Amino acid sequence: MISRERSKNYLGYAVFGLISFVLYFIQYTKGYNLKIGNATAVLLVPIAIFVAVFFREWVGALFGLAIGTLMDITTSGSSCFNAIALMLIGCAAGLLITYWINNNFLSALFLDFAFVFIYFFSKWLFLIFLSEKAFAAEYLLKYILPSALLTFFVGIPIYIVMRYIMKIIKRVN
Amino acid sequence: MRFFFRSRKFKIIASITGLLLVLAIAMNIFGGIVSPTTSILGTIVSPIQKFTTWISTSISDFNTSINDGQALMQENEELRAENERLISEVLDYQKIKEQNEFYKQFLEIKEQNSDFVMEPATLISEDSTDPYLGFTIDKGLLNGISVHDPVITSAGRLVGYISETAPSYSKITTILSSDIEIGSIDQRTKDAGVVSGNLAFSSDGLCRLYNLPRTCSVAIGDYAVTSGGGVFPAGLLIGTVTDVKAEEINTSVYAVLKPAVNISEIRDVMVITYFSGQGVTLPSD
Repeated sequence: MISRERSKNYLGYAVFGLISFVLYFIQYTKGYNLKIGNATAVLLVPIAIFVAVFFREWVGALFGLAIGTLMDITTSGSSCFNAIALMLIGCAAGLLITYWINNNFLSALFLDFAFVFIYFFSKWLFLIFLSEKAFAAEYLLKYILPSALLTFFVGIPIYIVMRYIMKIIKRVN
Repeated sequence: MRFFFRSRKFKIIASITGLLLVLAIAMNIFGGIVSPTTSILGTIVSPIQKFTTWISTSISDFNTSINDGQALMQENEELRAENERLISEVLDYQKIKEQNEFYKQFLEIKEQNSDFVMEPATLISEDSTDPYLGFTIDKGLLNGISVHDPVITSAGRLVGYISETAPSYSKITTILSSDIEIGSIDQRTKDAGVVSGNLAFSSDGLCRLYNLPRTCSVAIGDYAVTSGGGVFPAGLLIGTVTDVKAEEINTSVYAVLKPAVNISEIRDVMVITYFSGQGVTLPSD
């Protein structure tokens, strides 16, 4: 028999899996991505971070792996970059919450900020800088940093919605 | 945390990371392969992506038609009801007309290039963070598409080539990318060079024709076309010369090209799966 705690977790996985799937299609359908000026939000990165915040390192890593693999379907020349990066980010965020940081709104914001910037910076480093150094610094300032900032801010309402959903799931069980 | 690093879960995560790193290295060395997990997931999600793109396109077409309709309504209030009915009819008509136009041009290219074997395909997703505007189409290995197949529009203008392919979808590297190198000539002067993109030009939707000798007579307004051999057939229009500049690092010059196709607006493309001379390297290459 599945324990109440486990069934609560499974419901959470299913709900966040579905949300990720919907956000994935929004992110990669032509004309529907969130773009302001040069900045483009990558909605799935905050999701991977917050799933790790709510379900800790193991689920965070597996969720990051799944989301990253989905993102690799569309990203040209990514060579598993998103799968590796989001799995490690999910694992690291979960570990920080489990062992070092209190699980509250401020720490979630801190993790969102830190890991979003780590994701975008490593993406720039591996996918842009290593293949083309000439204009990489300009590209970092003009496109990557604004995109990271936008993704961080978009992560705030995503966290609030996810926390609300978690509360509902707890109440249902 | 020490316990976590000794746990079985940590070993699994480390193994997956190691496996993915090996895969990533293999993908970079051999090129064009998609990891098995990505390929399987891609096969599952590509029909859904096709559906979401269809919805997005329909909504965008509908909005355009509604906007047109509003302009008409301002001009003639009493025809409002009639206009709305017409809008939906026009929407259907435009779709059919676009489709007809697409296949008509497809036939024209086929007639002009009888050796071309082409596969029509539709954009199903795009990575908005890709500086070179790469995108994914709904056809893959099962449709006879393979890595390095040239991709053109129905009007025969060069878009790029297939850089990765899975059973049901393929990724396209566009002419704006720094990964692409296309043997090209100036159609008027026959000066030969190489077309490629870079970060500085791609943000403005431009690419460049470089390796031109300083003595060349390439001028603004000239057309750059593929020189043929290897990956691309000869004579495909790449773009128009908008500027000619001297290289800073050597004595050659380069021309700034405005691609003949607006890559950010592409919806349907043709993949040339075969042409005579495919894979044959010209002496000049």
